[in-house]
Amino acid sequence: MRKSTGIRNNLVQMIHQYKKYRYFFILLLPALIHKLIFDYAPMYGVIIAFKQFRIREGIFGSAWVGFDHFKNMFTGTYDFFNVLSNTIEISLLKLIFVFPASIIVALLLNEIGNSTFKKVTQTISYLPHFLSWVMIAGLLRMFLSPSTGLVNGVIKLLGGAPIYFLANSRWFRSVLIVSDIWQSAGWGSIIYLAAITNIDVEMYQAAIIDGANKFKQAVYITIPSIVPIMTIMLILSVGNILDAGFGQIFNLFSPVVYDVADILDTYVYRVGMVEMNYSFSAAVGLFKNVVGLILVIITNQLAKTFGEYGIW
Amino acid sequence: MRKSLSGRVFGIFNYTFFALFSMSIIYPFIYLISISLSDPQGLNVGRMMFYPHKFSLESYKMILNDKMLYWGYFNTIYRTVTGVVLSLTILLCAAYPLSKKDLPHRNFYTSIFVFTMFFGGGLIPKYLLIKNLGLVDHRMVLVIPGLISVYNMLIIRNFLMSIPKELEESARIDGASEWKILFSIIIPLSLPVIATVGLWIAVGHWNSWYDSMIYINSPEKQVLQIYLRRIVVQSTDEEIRGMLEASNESIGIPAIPETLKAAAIIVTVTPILVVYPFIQKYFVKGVMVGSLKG
Amino acid sequence: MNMKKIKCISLILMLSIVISLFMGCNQGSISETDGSQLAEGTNGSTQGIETEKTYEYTWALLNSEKVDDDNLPKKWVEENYNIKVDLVRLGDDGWREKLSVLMASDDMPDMVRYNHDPDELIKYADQGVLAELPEDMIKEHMPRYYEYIESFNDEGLWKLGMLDGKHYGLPMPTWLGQYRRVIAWNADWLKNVGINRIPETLSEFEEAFYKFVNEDPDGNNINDTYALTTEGPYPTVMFSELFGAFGVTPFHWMEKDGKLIYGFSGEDTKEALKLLNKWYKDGLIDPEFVTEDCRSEGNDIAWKFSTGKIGYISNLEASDHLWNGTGHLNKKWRLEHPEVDAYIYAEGHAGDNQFCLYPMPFTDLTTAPSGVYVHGNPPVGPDGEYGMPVSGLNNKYILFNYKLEEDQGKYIKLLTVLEDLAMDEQAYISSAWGEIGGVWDWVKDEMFGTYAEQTAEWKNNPDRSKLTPKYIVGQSGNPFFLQLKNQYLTANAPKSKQRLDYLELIAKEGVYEDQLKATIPSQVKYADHSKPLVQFALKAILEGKNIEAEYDRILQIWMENGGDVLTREANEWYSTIK
Repeated sequence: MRKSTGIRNNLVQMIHQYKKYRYFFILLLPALIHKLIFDYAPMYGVIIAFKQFRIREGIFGSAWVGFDHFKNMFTGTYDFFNVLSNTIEISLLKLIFVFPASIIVALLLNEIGNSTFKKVTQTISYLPHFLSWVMIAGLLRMFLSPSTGLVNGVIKLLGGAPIYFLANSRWFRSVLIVSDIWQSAGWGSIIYLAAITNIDVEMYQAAIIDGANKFKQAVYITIPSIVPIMTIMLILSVGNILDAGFGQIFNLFSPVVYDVADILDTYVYRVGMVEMNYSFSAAVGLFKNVVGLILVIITNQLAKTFGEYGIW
Repeated sequence: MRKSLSGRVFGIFNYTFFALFSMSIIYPFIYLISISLSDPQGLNVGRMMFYPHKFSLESYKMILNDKMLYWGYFNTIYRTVTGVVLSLTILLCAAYPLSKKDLPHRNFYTSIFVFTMFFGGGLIPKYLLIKNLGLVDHRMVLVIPGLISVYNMLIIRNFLMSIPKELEESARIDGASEWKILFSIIIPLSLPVIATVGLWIAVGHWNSWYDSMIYINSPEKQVLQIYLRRIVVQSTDEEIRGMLEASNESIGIPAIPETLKAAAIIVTVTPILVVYPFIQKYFVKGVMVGSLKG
Repeated sequence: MNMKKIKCISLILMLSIVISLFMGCNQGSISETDGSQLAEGTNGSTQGIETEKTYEYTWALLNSEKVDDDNLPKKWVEENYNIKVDLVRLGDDGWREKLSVLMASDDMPDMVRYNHDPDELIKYADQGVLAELPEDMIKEHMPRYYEYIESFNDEGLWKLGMLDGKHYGLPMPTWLGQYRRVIAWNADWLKNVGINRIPETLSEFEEAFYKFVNEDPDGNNINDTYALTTEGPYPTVMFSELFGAFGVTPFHWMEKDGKLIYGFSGEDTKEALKLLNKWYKDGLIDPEFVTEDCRSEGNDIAWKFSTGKIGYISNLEASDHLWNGTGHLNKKWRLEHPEVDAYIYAEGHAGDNQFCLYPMPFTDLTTAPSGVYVHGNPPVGPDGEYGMPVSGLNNKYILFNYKLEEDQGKYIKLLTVLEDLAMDEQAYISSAWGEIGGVWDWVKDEMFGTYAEQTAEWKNNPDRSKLTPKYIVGQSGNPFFLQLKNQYLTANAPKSKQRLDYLELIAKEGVYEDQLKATIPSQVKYADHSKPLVQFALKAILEGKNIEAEYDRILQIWMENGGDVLTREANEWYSTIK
């Protein structure tokens, strides 16, 4: 007797709450509907990963193959592991080189005294962030061309042999890293500079009185104050480790550097769209999504423990 | 204040470093401008260039005569403006309710949105959906499917969550309706984050090309970046090719000279370069706002 | 992670599955819900009698052809054959993805002119999106075209479109595919380094190459020359004549000791790679070869050759020699060597492109004037082997949407229209230039016979390039161009007959065709089997580390990943025709 009243009470309470917030739900509704239509509806496509998709039979008519594609990923093909390791390696490289670049730029910029110089430099440094990778790739191709590129022109002048950077397995990743730094260091420094400007000036004054030089000030005051934001950014980057930069790589690579530059996203794209192996491509994509989700959840929890807010 | 020797050396290094860094960003554009203003024939590329070699407006004439360029602009501007307006509206509408801590089942609804950040059905079901909605080769396909970026919504939501409750409380006590609260208090206070997110959305639209490549067939509906890709990556823009053929007398696919490619890049990048100095401070403010509020 | 979160997420998952399945069911499976999407158009007459239906077709353009709705080709074709044509652009950028996506969403155009890998034809057939086109059907409804195909006397033309006993796609024999790439040497360079005979053997080639790099052949005292380059992105073309000197065609099937092997597994591939690596290390090969395209940018191979960056070229396509004196080499080359003009135009027709005759192919170094290039043959290797693979007769097809099978009337009408466009002279010229007597007419000339030419008034019309393609054949604008031999000959009569003769002279010797002229069962499954081999070849040439051991290793991998199966099946087929 008591239980049923309990449930009924809960239901009544819920309806009451919804009524109370009805305007808010009206506001929320269009967005929900949009998500349902454009994001949830196509999700049935995920089953392509468990079927041998044949266009003529459609998604529902094609035969089930269960986990065959996933098995094939790990044992059948020779290149999936290569692609996976490329993705992780490139992400790690970016973590080691690109991630600190914005921090270093912020620290150095903080030491620039002349405010006009500082403002002008900052403005210029944000610019590459606004260019699409199509444009940047166009620029890179021109500059790195072995026959007509500026970089090789300089190399030749110094007596060396021209290097075809974009088609060379040894240099390609370096191009990725350097161009990523070029594109993001300036913009990325904003967030650190914001944190730095929040540091209490009195701390610096106290340190100077204690005889600390600029370097010591940086190490003992500046850096520790940006550690929180650095940690959050780092953790978020780790969560995205399976995205190694589709837009950048897609516009720059070519078959000759697949062995070092083919990442999960470009692989999924090519196997699916170009080689028409839709099912296998969907399986790899699903794998990436699931693992990516897990990573993000874990790292988000970590961010919460270290910082104040997570992403949600 | 006296500066130690090491301090001075460091200072010199610092200024030099940033001077070089800035040059590395500016120089490519100087180079591009120089090349684009050079004579397309027989240009010996591969050297440092700070000024045009055999000044010629030929390349710009060709680019500016290509009506595809203007279509590219039209479509990109169309999607940017429409996209920003519609997106901001719907994002605000979604973020506001979700910012209310007492909203029933708030976590559930938030998760519905967040989940879509990580899972999707793949290109084929999406294409089928777009096709069934009749959006294939329609300009709105560049705007509608991507209307809600959950990441942006969360940024707005978090900001809204930081608005002190007292403001709303006192307005409610004064008898204001929910709508009035939304329009006269919340929105005005959120202008910084709205402006920032709006600008992010704008830049995203301006630079996007993939969806246009897949869903749009008619050349007059393609976006600027696709136009650029055709010239710089593919060398297949037909108007330009036609012009080159007419002046060239040889058949086969005439190669697009470097000067044309440079001119194309300049023409598509210039609006950003021009608008950018004025709006960048809003961006910067926005990032700071976003970061401090978590 | 707390319980609440887990509950939330599992609730979402359930919800999404339910919703998506619900939505998904409405999308339906492709093959039945759509019914006849491409309905028949209006009836021909207004009386109750059934006259000919006006069928509507969607016609795909692969290249970015310039076709407005008002242009003459489309209008003429529609009026003349009583059909409606809707042109679908696939563009050049992302055409594969577009086609993929169109096929997957059941929107494939009725007709797609397919210019790429014939191996991919089978993939499409396997997905079930193509209409079957039996040989008999072609014989019955396209008799002249059938004869044309048979005139090439090559069973391979029919075999490649076969899957499980059914035939798909209309073969468009690529008659140009019988000719190999043309080899040319910079005559001045040869003479300057003291060579007075066009190199013939591999060692003569090597000697010439080293001299090109080390002995300043262009006399400018700067060490800025390379000997050769190639098209890296195209493994079947890459250094093909050099592999040929070792008796292997690495990315084709070839015969050895009575059996078929995949060229790469021929042991001599190793030797070839070692030699190429040595040449690369010694600076003979332009490092850009890995992404070089014959016609990609202003700095492509032909440009490099004509401006004196390399001294040897083996990538001039045979078709280059059908156009204005050496095709796109023309403009650049002629800028550098204006004296060549004397050889180019027919007497009395200076400056007129219709009469731009191919400069005499110079095959003798001693009589070649200055500033021209001379033609050679593929190098003969130490064992007397030589050859360059050609693409053979079939790498172009017309693909038909499977739905045409359901409407035989429509299908047959399309075939008859195509046949007319292909085989009737006046029809295919009209498909480019409209009705005869309008924009064009026949012209009789003593020297060149009868040929088609645009009228003088039309040539002076400023709008002409918008309404008609400039040339009848070629990619600049005619979507109905089917690239047949007769079309070339008729459309460009003044030049084409002569060109064809020259082609026989310089592009027929040392031709090698892929010996696998059928589709084998596992071809679809292992369609990309050669990719690791290509990668290996490139690495070997560029780096050359331990080629012997690596070769064996990569061959092993290839064997395990389809190589073994394919070789077995290929030989099963081969034994049936021996």
